[in-house]
Amino acid sequence: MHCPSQDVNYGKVKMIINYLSEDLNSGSNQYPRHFLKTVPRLRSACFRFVCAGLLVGQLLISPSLAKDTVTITSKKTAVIDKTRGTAVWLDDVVAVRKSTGSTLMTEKLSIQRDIASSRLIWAEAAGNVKVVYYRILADNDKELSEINSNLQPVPHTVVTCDLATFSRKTALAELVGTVHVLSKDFELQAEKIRYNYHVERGKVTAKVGEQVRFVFYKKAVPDKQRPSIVKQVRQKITGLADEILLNRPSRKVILQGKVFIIDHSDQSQFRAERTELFFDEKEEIETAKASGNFSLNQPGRVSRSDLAIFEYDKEEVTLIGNAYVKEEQKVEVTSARIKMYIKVNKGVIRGVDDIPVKMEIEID
Amino acid sequence: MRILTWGLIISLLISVLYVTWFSDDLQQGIQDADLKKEKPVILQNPELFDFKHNRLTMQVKAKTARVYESRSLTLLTTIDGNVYSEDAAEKPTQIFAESGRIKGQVKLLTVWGNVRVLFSDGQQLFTEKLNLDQNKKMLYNRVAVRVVSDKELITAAHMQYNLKTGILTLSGPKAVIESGF
Repeated sequence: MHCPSQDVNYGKVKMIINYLSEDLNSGSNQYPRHFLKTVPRLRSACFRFVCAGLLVGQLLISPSLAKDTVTITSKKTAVIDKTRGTAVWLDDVVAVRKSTGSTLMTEKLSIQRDIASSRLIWAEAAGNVKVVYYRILADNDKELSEINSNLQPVPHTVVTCDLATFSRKTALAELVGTVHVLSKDFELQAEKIRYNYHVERGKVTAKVGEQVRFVFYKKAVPDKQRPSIVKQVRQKITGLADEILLNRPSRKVILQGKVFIIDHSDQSQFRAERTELFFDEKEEIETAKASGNFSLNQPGRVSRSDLAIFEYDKEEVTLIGNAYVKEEQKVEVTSARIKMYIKVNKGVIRGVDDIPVKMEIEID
Repeated sequence: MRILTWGLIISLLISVLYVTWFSDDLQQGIQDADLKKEKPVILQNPELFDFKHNRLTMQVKAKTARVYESRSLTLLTTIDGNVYSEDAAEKPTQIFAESGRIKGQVKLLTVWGNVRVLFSDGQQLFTEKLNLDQNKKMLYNRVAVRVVSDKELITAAHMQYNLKTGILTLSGPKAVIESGF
């Protein structure tokens, strides 16, 4: 039986819908079901894009380690122009930073140094560029590596692209041409990553007609019932966007152009034309603003609106403009503005002060 | 029989290649044998100068010089040479070595034994043998080199340095560079 629709001004509408699944906050053994719980993971992923762009420069410069060295070898030649301070290394070039073992491999490596100070001012790796980046071992890790000296260290990030450039003069780091960044907990495929480390702003773009692809992983939630030796399966989040903009001073990351994200743990799907992510001082996500045909398909709930603002400390989302929520195929709510909990199984939906909410409930 | 003939041809070719390409020393031995027939002019602590268009291009000091006039050849010991750039403001490239020879006709200076080159930028090159083609303004060799400066060490199989352009080409290079550079 279908209940006729009613226009009701509830003021503050509260509607509690019970779900079979356990409350996520009650220490349940289930993984979080909704993908937005995982949006904070974008924090680390997005800001690490920056690191990827700087890898070539990072490999050649080590401001923190005065005694560190870089060893460069090539099969063919090194052409050093003493008057210009340039050096071009050709054919199977390998550059290794001693302190970390981070390695750059390419067909051609060109560097330019200031003649007076010998300071690196420009570097370019061209052709089959591969950077294997290791972080400096923390003291605890050093002890561990001494004990298990046979263990191969795992690279922090592996980057491949066609061309990588670093310029101190323009403060730009760029990776161009089939860029693939693979890290322990994120992966990125794009055509170009450009980052100005002076103003700390960057842009990740795709080829014309394609989109930037990114994958990141939620940490596996420890299962108390399983023995600890059983390997936890990491939860994968994949996403697409036309471009990603990074603005570190404003602590902002913008995904724009047909943003589409899937949480593979529950197949939750998020779509918007533009999503702005704002971070706090600890680089934890504070708020997210999704605009332009926003929709969120979560198991048991579908939401749509012109604009959606996620507040992560309150675990709430406000849908603004043509807001629509349908839960469990039974309850449909429409309003100019709807506020709801991000977690589906908290089951709370309410209107915002003085804004009418239209609700349809299907009664069996 | 054919194998033996081909084997002989190949080994002959290898020998010719070695003599013409790799081993200047063997040629030098042959030349030295010829030189014994001629009595050289011996100079003590000579200073040799080379000019082009009234500009000093090279100055070589040595402990001794044996000059074979008929062959336009000079053999030198304990060499300290300066090669001047076209840019007068630029410091000369200095060359030090135990021994050397100047082939006057082709304007080729060859030095050997603890060869050290001090470039105008302070970088030093160490090797066992080095040629300076004065016509082409080119330093080159086919033996191992070591290039040293404050913050880097480069080793290579051989090198070529254009004195006009300041371009140093190293083959099979390996550089150890102090980072923060």
